[in-house]
Amino acid sequence: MQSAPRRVADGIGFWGVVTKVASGSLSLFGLRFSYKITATILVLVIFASAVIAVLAWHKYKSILDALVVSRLEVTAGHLQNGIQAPLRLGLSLSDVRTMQEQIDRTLGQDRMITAIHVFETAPERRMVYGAGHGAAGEGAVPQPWADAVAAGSGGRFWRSTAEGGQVLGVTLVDRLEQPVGGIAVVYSTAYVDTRIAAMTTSLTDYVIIASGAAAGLGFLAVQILFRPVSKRLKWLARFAGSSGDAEAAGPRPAGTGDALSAAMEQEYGRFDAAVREAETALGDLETLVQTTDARSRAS
Amino acid sequence: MSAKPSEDMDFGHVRRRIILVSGAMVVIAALTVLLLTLRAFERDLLPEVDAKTQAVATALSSTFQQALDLGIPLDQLIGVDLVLDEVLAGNPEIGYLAVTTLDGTAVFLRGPNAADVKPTMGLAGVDGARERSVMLQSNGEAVGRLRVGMAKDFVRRSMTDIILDLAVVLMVSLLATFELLMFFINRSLSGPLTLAMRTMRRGARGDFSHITGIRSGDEVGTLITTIDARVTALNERFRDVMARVGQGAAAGGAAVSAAMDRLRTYSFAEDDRPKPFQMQVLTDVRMPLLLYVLAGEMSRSFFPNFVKDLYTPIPGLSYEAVLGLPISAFMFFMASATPVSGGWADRIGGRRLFLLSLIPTLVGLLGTGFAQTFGQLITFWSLNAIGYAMATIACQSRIAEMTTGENRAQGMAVFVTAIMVAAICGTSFGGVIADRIGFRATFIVSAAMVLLSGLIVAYVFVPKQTKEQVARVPLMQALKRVSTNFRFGVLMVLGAVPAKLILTGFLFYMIPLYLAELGNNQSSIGRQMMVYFAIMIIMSPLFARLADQRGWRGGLVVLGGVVAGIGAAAIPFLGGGELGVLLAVITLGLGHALGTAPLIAMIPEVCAEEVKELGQTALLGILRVVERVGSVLGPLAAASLATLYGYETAAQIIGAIVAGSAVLLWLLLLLGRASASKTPVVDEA
Repeated sequence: MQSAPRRVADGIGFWGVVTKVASGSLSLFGLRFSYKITATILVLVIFASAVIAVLAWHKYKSILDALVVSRLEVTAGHLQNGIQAPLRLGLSLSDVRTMQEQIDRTLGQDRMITAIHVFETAPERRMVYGAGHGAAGEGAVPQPWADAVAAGSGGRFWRSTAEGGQVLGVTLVDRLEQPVGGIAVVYSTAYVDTRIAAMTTSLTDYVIIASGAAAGLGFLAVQILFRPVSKRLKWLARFAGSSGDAEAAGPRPAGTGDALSAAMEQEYGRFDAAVREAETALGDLETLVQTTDARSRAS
Repeated sequence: MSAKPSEDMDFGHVRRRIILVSGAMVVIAALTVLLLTLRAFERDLLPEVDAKTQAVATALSSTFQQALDLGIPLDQLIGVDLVLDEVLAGNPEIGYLAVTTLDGTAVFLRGPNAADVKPTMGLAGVDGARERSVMLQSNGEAVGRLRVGMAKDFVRRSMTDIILDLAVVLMVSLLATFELLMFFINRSLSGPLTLAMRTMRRGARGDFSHITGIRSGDEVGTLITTIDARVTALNERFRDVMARVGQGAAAGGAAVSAAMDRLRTYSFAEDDRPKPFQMQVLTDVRMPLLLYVLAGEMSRSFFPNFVKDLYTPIPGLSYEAVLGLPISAFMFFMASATPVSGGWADRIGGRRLFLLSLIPTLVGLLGTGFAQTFGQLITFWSLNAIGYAMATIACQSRIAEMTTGENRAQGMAVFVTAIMVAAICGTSFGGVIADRIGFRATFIVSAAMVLLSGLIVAYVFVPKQTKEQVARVPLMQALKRVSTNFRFGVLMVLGAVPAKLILTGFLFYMIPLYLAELGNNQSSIGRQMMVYFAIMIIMSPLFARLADQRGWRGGLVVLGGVVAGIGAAAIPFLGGGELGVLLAVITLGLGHALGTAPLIAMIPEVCAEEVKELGQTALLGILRVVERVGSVLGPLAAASLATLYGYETAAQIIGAIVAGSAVLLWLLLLLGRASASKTPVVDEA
């Protein structure tokens, strides 16, 4: 038997960190090579699937947001069309009597919309019509809305926030194309959030399903492809461990036909022969030294 | 089936199998997720499009209703086509808009799918396409219907866009997967087996002075442990015997001397125990470099917006100029630190320089993330630039340490591809992560990745054994020294500078603007630009191998310049528009894949004398500085030319300059070779 190897300094093997096979010390547990490959494949498929899922989630979110906002723009634009013509004729907002009925009807048609406000910024800042949460007259026109109207032109959409959700607004102008007020459509993001949460759950499920299936397939493929190599290497390790005694190493794996392990075996044969020769040379010298020592003691 | 004569084994077939199986599984998993996702998208988004169609129908019907309420008959409405076209233009998800009589006869009909509308079409529409309709009334009586049909290819169009985007993601994932796999294979299989083979071959020749030094619990590890144990035991036995011989050798006489002579044919460890081999794998550089650059690139997509948050007016500078300051400062400090880092790398080695670079990088990234003022932002971002210069030069230095003239181009291709993969992945992932956790937290994630890259370097980079005796030469003096080297000069001016000029001027600056002008969206522009990176990543190692095997480095640099320039120069002849741009991007990618790594690899050869004086990495640092000149000139030249002549002509001019420079480089290298042949200077161009 060979003596046990001493602690090897500067041992390297990055993968050892992952498999608890620390360099420079004995492994806590040894993983077969094929298991390591399978574990790597599992990590990779989870990584790739998760990346696709994350980016798909963002794509879904952007499309959904765009669709929802464009739908609200249609609604806000529709309301604006109804009121802009009288304003251009010189009427004031409070003169457009049909507006209240129209915003009530619009509010009832879209569950996402929580409130609609029609407000004036000139000549004075006030709420004129309203429906839903915080209807007209219940509050002052928020400063950001007034700023957005002042900065905009007729028909231009703007975004803001309000109690109860997000705001999509549109600026109203008078016959001189001067901003005089706006329409603020307040909508809840709860609907979009719910849809996105549902999609998140679905995508997580898909990642688990796809990763599990691919890892399972990968495990089978690895077992089929690497089993011969693994067997040959294990036999070679036993062969090496038994000081090159092929019988002690057990039956040689047949039919593997693997060039790598065949080359390793051939190389080990040469190495083993050289080691034996060196051992013989050392043994001869040891015998001579022992003989010399014995003679010295005797004399 | 004999082993190869060299000490290193060819593990190509095992590597191929692992890559094949892993790649196939990744593709299967990714495609499964992709298909399931597309189904979910279709299921979820169709009702939303339907709701949008309903909103359009309601809004538009009120316009018609106003006219009908005035008593105008339905078929005598004026300007209806204009109104319908306006609505169609603003709503791509609508396939047709129709105003029909009650019996379904179309009075007005517009839209891309207008031909599909049947007179008696029901609510389901044609081909399953959804339709929404609103009744139109006059004096309380129904007179017709407004029908709004969803574009039958809208979902398909949206899905195509999504599929193209996700295909890019899949490619990025595969690239990252490949990097991880190569690292795994090299560290756990080919590296250990190569060392085992090396130990056995040395042993077979009687050299027992080295062991593999690797411990692992798998089959490879068991075999290696056994080999190491035999070599170690032999050395211990030798030491014991020699100790005893030393005590009584004099009395041994001729027999002992003869036995000693026999043992002298073997080599044993000089000190107590056999030395472990150092596993040096070129691809070891790739993983930490990839992580490091990835960390830096993560902020690329949102950095301008992040800067806006901290914007402070600076007297005399416009808003845009102030926003550009942090990026300019980054470039300035990176360019300044590069040559200095080159000198350090030659003295302290790539490993220590990389570990040192962690200090400015981590402080810089975390400081940037927590910056509260514009001044702090610029300071920390500049510190990060210094770290970036140190780390990238450290990796180049590491590659230079590990390569010889025979494989230097391949080594540099490792560097180039790692940077490219990081650039692609970082920009994609950075935006996603920032969107989820915010700008500031993303910098912390980047810092964690940098730390991880440092840990890998500390673990896998072997410390430099001997320090080169290289004089500390200031940059200007070094530049002066190399400026007398004619071939280095022409290589820089006609090879390195034009390569960066066309990269930043044409690809980074002009193509996004030109494609946007042609009506392409950001995703489409990104996809076209990504073709360049994909070609670089795939082709660069192949051409680098060719350069090393055939010694065609100079030729490939010249050919690369010509190919890179010719595509841009020929845009109008390649069909112009998107197709012309795509072909130009492909030729640019091919050209740079041909020339980038060979150009870097040529430096130590055309500067054989200077390398001895200044150090190899210092010269690579000079190359980086010279390249920055091209990077700065590129956008400036492109912007000026595009303003004067338009994008296509500007691209032609830049392409012609680059291709012409390459031809001139060829002629001057030939001239240089002719004169160099009179003196004993290494030459291969």
